[in-house]
Amino acid sequence: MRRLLFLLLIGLFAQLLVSCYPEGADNTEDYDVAMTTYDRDKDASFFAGLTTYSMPDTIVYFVSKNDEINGGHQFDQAILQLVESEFNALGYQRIQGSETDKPDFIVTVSAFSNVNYYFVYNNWYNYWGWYPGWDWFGWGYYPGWNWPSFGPYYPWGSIDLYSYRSGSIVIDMLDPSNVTESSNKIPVLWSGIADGIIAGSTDYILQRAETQIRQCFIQSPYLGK
Amino acid sequence: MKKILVIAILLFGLSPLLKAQMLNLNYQISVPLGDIKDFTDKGSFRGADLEYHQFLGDYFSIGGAIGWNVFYHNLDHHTNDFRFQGNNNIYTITGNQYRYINTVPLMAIGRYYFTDNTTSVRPFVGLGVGTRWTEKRLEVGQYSSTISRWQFSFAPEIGMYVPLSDQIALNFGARYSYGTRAAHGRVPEFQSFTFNIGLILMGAQ
Repeated sequence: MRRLLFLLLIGLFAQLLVSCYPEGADNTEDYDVAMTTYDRDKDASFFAGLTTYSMPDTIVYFVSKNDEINGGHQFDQAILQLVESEFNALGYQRIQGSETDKPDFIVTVSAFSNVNYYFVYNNWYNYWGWYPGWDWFGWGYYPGWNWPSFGPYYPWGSIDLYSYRSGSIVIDMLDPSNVTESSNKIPVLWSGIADGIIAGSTDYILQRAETQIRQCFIQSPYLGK
Repeated sequence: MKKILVIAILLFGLSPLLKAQMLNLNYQISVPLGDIKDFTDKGSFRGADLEYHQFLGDYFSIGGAIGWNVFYHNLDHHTNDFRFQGNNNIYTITGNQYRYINTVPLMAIGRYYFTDNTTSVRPFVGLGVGTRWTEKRLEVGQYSSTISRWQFSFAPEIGMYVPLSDQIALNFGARYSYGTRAAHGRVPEFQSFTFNIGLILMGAQ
């Protein structure tokens, strides 16, 4: 009896530990991040030496052709305006740009989106009903340990399939004066990425995207005149 | 946990062959130190271990312990530099960070008791030597990084147990744990200070 009590105690302990394991992110916006990277050969004095930039009036979408999000350009104006105001606030000046009036850098804004699928195995301890109602005592604990009779209570088949759409808005600062003709590559001076899960109302999505875009500029103190 | 059940059953199965033994289940609260504190600067209330001790005479025992401790710390709106696999760029990422340390110590423990088994409290000092499996995990946004290694480990301890009857006792103790750094420091040097409180089942004396 003492041993069984002890085993039960261990079981309770295990249950306690498993059930209070820390969970991590709860809400959609907990997954929002702002990511920035820049050409590490450049420093603040280089970025201070830049003055003019030009920027296309559209956001380029990198999504598959049949994707429903195509044509959903409702965020473009708001985001382009925000990006422009952020660069202007840094002391840069937006110009139309031409052969004779070349900008110091070009800003492009692009959007990436992807649908991700993942499986969730319902953990056995949610179903097994380990406690209460474990009913181990009645089983004739030894001998006749009876593992096979677990079968019906072991719902291995229960799998839920979830999907979520992730999205990124990528702001690139390009250096047009250093294009490599042979490879057609334009050096990237700085990238800011607002990255998150696309869920909720359009206002909510836009507000979250704007927060992360602002954060990209906040965490890049080397930018600006 | 099935493993622990099996171990417990085996130990009790052997009990008629052995004399003067203890099986000890402890709840543990741990305070992180050093590199672990730098990563998860928060006390751990998620921990337990299972110990078995065999007496050699009146003043010494040898035994083993297996445990599990979880350290967790979440940092809202935190900025750090990261590198992605297969990409040399350094990315500065701001977001909510979720940090975890899981550690599973497996140790042989030797103890010296200051009194024989006639006293109402039995204070002891001990030293555990063995290994621990430690996993370090960081999540930010939709990205995560996990690394785990086995570390060489030792753990000096002090404590006392209070017999309530011939068969049951309470255990109180404190233990400093150390684990060597691994994977070139990506699994940090492990250091923690752990408080044990638990129940002891005494075998035949």
